[in-house]
Parts: sequence; C-alpha cells; structure tokens
Amino acid sequence: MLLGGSVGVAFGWALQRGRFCVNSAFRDAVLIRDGTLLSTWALAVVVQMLGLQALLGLTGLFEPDVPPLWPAANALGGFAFGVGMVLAGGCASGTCYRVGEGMLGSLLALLGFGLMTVVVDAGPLRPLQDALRTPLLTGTEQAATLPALLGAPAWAVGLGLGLPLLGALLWQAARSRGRAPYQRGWPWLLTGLVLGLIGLLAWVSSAAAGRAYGLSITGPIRSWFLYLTTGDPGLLDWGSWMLLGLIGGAFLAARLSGEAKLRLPPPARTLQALGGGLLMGFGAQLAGGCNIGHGFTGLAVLSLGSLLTTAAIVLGAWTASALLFGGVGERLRALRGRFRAPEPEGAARVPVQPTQVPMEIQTQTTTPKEGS
Amino acid sequence: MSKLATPVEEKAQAKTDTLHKLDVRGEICPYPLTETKKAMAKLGPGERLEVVLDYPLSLETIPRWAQQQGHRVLTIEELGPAEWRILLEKGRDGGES
Amino acid sequence: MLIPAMPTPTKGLTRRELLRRAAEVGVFLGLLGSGGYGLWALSRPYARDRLLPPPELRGLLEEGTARVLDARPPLAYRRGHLPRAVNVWDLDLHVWEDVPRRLAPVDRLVETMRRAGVGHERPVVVYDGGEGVWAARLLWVLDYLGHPDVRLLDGGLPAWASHGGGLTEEPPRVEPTAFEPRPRPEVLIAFDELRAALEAGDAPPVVDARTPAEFAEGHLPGARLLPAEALLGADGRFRGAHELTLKAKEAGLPRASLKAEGPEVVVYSRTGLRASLVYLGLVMLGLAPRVYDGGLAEWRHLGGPIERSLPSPGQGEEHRSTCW
Repeated sequence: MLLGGSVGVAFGWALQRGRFCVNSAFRDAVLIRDGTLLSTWALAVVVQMLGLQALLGLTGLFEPDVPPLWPAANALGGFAFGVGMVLAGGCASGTCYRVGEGMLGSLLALLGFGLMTVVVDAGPLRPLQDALRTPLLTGTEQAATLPALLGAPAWAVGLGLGLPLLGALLWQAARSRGRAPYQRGWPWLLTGLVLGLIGLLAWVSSAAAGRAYGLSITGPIRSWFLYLTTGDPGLLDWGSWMLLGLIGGAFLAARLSGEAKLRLPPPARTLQALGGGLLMGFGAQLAGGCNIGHGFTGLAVLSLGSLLTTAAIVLGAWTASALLFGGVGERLRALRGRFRAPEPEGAARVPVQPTQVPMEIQTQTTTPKEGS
Repeated sequence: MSKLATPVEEKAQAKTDTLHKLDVRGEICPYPLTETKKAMAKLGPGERLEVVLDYPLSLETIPRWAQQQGHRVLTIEELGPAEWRILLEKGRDGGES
Repeated sequence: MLIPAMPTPTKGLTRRELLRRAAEVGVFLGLLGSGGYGLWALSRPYARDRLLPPPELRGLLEEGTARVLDARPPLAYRRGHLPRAVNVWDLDLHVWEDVPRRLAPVDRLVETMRRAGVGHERPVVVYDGGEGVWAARLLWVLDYLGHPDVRLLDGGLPAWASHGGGLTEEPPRVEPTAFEPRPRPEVLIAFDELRAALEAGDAPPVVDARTPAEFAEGHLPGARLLPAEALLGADGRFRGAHELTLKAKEAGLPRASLKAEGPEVVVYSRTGLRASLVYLGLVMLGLAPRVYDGGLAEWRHLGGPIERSLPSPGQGEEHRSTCW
C-alpha cells in the first residue's frame, strides 16, 4: 500500500507539474503542430524501456507480465479510447491528475470511465469482451513481444530501438533554446526523464508487491469500482494505491503551485466529458489497458498488443480531433509534416497566415492578404 | 496577485486599441486554445484579446501557439488562485520579424 | 522582432514556492524509497538456497567433486546428458502398489544411491529436463535419506543449454559407494499421523500443490492452495525468494523463522511429485515442510475426508492480468 502510494504521489506530482497528457500530446501534434508533449511522452517511454530492459537483462530481477495480443480488442478498444479521450479532454492519466487539480468535468469522466470498465468486464458487455479478446498467438510459450517476433533478445531490441530515439530526442532538446517565460511547469525534458524514471521504479516497486507490471490506470480504476461494488478486498493491489496516490499527488502539486480549484465546465461540455469518459472506459477495458497500461508501460516490454493499441489510440484521437476541431485536410497536412520541436524564441519566423477559418491557420501559402 | 511576466516592447502600439475578452474558465483541453483561435481569427491586426482561463496546461500552450502564429503575448497575469489572464495582440500579416 | 514577455526577475522564493520545493523533495524521496525497497526486496536471497545457477555448474563439473544425477527417463538420458551424470529415474525410487508412486523401501533406495555413486561426503547436483518436479523429487528422496548437500540445477537442461552448456552421450564410470542412510522421517508424514492431527485439530497448515482446477474438485480439509507451477517462471527457473515469500504469504503460510528450523507445514499433491517441488521452495524459504507422500490418491484410497471449496479470495488468478 505504501509502495504503490508513494510511487503514485510522485506520478501525480510529475503529471501535474509537467502538464503531461497523452491526449494533448497526440492532438496538439496535429491540431497546432506542437510536438512538445509528444516528445515528452516519447522520452518517458524510451527512458523507461531502456532502464527496464537493462535492469532485467542484467539482473533478471523479476519476470515482467506482458499484455497479450488481442488484435480485434486492441484495435477496436484503442480506437474507442482515442475518440473518448478527445471528447473527455484528457487521457486516462490526464483525467486523473485533473481530478486532483479540481476539474469536476474530469471527475465526471473518471466516474464514467470506471462505470464502463465494470460494465464491460463484469457486466452486460462481458460477452463482447470475451468475443473480441481472442489472442493471435495461442499455443506459443513466449509472450507476444517484438523481440519474440524478431527472435532477438529483449535487451538488444530495446537498445536498438531506444538508443536512436533517445539520441534524436536529446538532439532535439539541445536544439531548442531555453525555457519559455510563460512556462510555469517543468520543461519537457525534465518531465520526460522524471516520468521515465517513475515508470521504471514503478516496475520494481510493483514487482516487490507481487505485481509484475508497471504503471497502469485502467486496471486500478476497474479494481476500485469492482471493489466498491463487490467488496472483495482481494481486488485491491499495488496499482489501486498507486491510483489514489496519483490523485493525491496531483492535488498536492496543484495546491502548492496555486493551480488547484474546483471548477466546472459549461453544461454541454460536462456532458461531453461524461460521454468521453464512458467511451474511454469501454475502449480501455476492451483493449486491456489505456494510454498508460499499454501506451507507456506495455511499450517498455515491447508488447505487440501494446504497440497495436497505442497505434489505434493515436488513430482514434486524430480522427476525433479532425472531426471535432478541424477539417480532415488539415489533419492530413499535419500528418505529412514532421512533428516539430517548439521554438519558443524563434517563433517569430513563422509568418502570420490569413485566418478566415480558424483551422486554416496552417495553410502553406504565405501570401499576405488582409491588413497588409 | 503576482505578475508572472511583464510586457516588453510597447513600441509597436496597436492601431486599434479595442480589447476583446474571452472567458474560458472551466474549460479544459483543448477548448481554451480552440476558442482562442476562433477569437483571434476574428480580430484585425494589432487588436488585442484578453483570455481568462483556469486551466494550467493551456496557460502554456496558448502562448506557445500564439508565438508560433506570430501573435504577441503581452502579459500573463495570475488573477487569483488558479485563474490567469493572457493578453494577446494579433500580429500584423507578413512583417513582425 | 517579436520577443515574448520576459520573466520577472526572481525576488527570492515565495513561501508557496518554498513549500512546493520541500514537498517536491519529499515526493521524490518517497519514490526513491519505494523503488529502492523494491530493488532490495527483489534481490533478497533465499534463507537456505538449494539451487545451483547454470553458470556455476561449469566450475563444479571441472572440479569433478560433485556427483551429478540425471532425473529424466532413461531414453532421454541416453540421447545426451551432462558429463559424468548418472541416471536415477522415477522408477528407481518408487513402487506402484494400490496407489501410484509410493516411496520404495529404504534399502532399495540405498541400493540405488550406492550404484549411482552417491556418498555423504560428496555434494550432489540433481537436474531434469526443465520440468523441475523430477529433480525436486530426487532431491527430496536424498533429503529423506539424510544426504547433507543436495542442490538442484535451476532451470534444468534448457537453462544449461541457454548458457552454452553441452551434453555428452558417453556413459560415466561409476564406482559403487558405501552409502549409509541417516533417514530423516521429519520430511515425511504418513496418512495415519496426518489424519489424526487433522481430526484433533492440531495439524500444521496443509498445502495443496496442484492446480486451482484440481483443488476445486476436492482437497484435504482446510488445505491452502500453492500450485507447484506458480513456483517456476516461464523459463523453468525458480522465482526469486521475495516472490516465493509473497506466494507463501498469499497461501496463508506462516512466516519462516530465520534462527531455528521454521514452522512445520504439510505439502501434498496427487502422487507427491509436485509436492516435492513445493517442498524445495518452502525449505529454501526456511520453513520445515513435510511431504504427505501418498498424496490425494492415497487419501481417497484410504477413505480420508475430502473438502470441496474454491480457493479463497486472492488465491484465484481470475481477477488478475486481464487489464492494466
């Protein structure tokens, strides 16, 4: 309980101080071509993966659980989750830390999330989950991971994938100059490194508590809701206390930064958050994890199921963003373009665009029209 | 009520001193930003927009976005517990650099 | 030139910032504490380690002092075995009368060990094809005969092979030894004693080493579930001391005392094979397990009472691993 709780507090603290949200990371990369959060996420994943593969490769301290590959459930669940998080305005971890900040809309999303995990896992939608969760690689002894697919040792694949990516991220970090003055939270480099470290230590701490997995959100939410409805204390484990710690840690960080306050979005948006939460819970439970369980921790063990789910989440998020916030053409253009690092001081180099339609700000033509 | 940032470079005084207001308190990702975008699109060059918000992440993304677009971020103020005001000025097309 | 608003110069830290920094340090220390505890706990050794890691086997083979016993079927043995390893198969240790796999009489066991060249003064290493149970059974028999130093090759031959170890088909030359048994009846418990203790209510905790499904179909009264398969990882090697401790705790077993012989527990399976693996695990944790050798097969045959119940909450695995 103490093990999970203390990791959770650190996790919540880092999320709040780093303003880390996978939803915003995927969305902003497309919507406003801002790759900062995306880099943060990638850095955190890489640091965690390198650390974990090195630790396990060198010491064999414990045997990590690997999320299975359920192609249908991973793809459909991931996509639904991606759409849901755009509606709810936050991924699983983002929603939780915003609850700590006092966002009541997020609280509603969280409640919807929890409700749907139980509905899918133990309620009327259970047959759907059973039907879609058909593993692709049955009968094989090995877990469905990228190294198993390639027939290479896990640490080698981890290093091969991780080091170049880490190099690229650090190079990008070195290129971007300084900290923007308006930034009150942590710089993205720090956030990414700290989150990676937390992810790594979470594995160790959690394994010591008899749970051979790292950070996750969906499982703990589900176990809390199941526990509250069935009263089976066997449901609560390291992850449950981690989740409580997360919310507490985020509250603490927000409180001490003057960013905690109870606030409610306009009524329509509140409903939208609830709907998004329901969809997220449905998708995450189906896929067996969310942007943390799959998109962070599962990637560190190079699980194929996690890779597929993460891709589906991205796709869902982009689709929903495009439909909600902009034309599809905008999305395609942004897809084509590289994710660029933010350039706080160099921003003036971007010429102002004609802006009749909000979403057309990124048009490639530079001909000034109005006001020139 | 502490000032986080002070305005610099007031020389490029806006032609029109109209101050538009946008209150996005309560909104979270990504609405503060999308609403700001919409509002800014309606402004003419040099016009100012005051955004009041209470969502920390947008407090960072809005200025970043504005700079990328060539708008000016004049001030960012803390109004009270978890409430901030961003003052933006729409950039002039083509030449701010 | 568009320059963003500059930060106000820091005028020392405000009270709130000080508080925040202090809390930040606290949070960070908590994280490190949690992770550090995990590292420490996971690398904790067994109280009484009886495993031989494959890399250490090489040195042992070169020294040539240890007697290596192959617990696989003779056919597999003949196709390739560790250098100088002697085959001691299941059939050499057991008899099939009324119930399957009963421990053979001591003089027959001693005869087997003498022919295999086992002596009290030589350490013994046992191994199998990675199943663990065959080697563990042989280890338990040697414990019963009072051999002071028997270890099990962790992970069996697959682990040896993955460390680049080779096999040979050359039959070993073995000189029979004068093996004098010093039987230790405390590693064994017979039907009558166990039944009497259960009826009197002063029996030690009873552990069922079979699968949850077998357990649900019927088990000894009051038994707790600790499946033998849960003791080994996917690579066939024993789980770490900490993981095993957690599993034993989950099964409701008493804590081992590090000073004296640990508290007694009784282990059984269907015929005693899997019970031997759990026996080894519990010995390493410092407990004093006694194998009910007849197992559920004999228990049913002799008309012992059977209880039907599901594993207690937390003992089933169905809540786990479906979602992260």
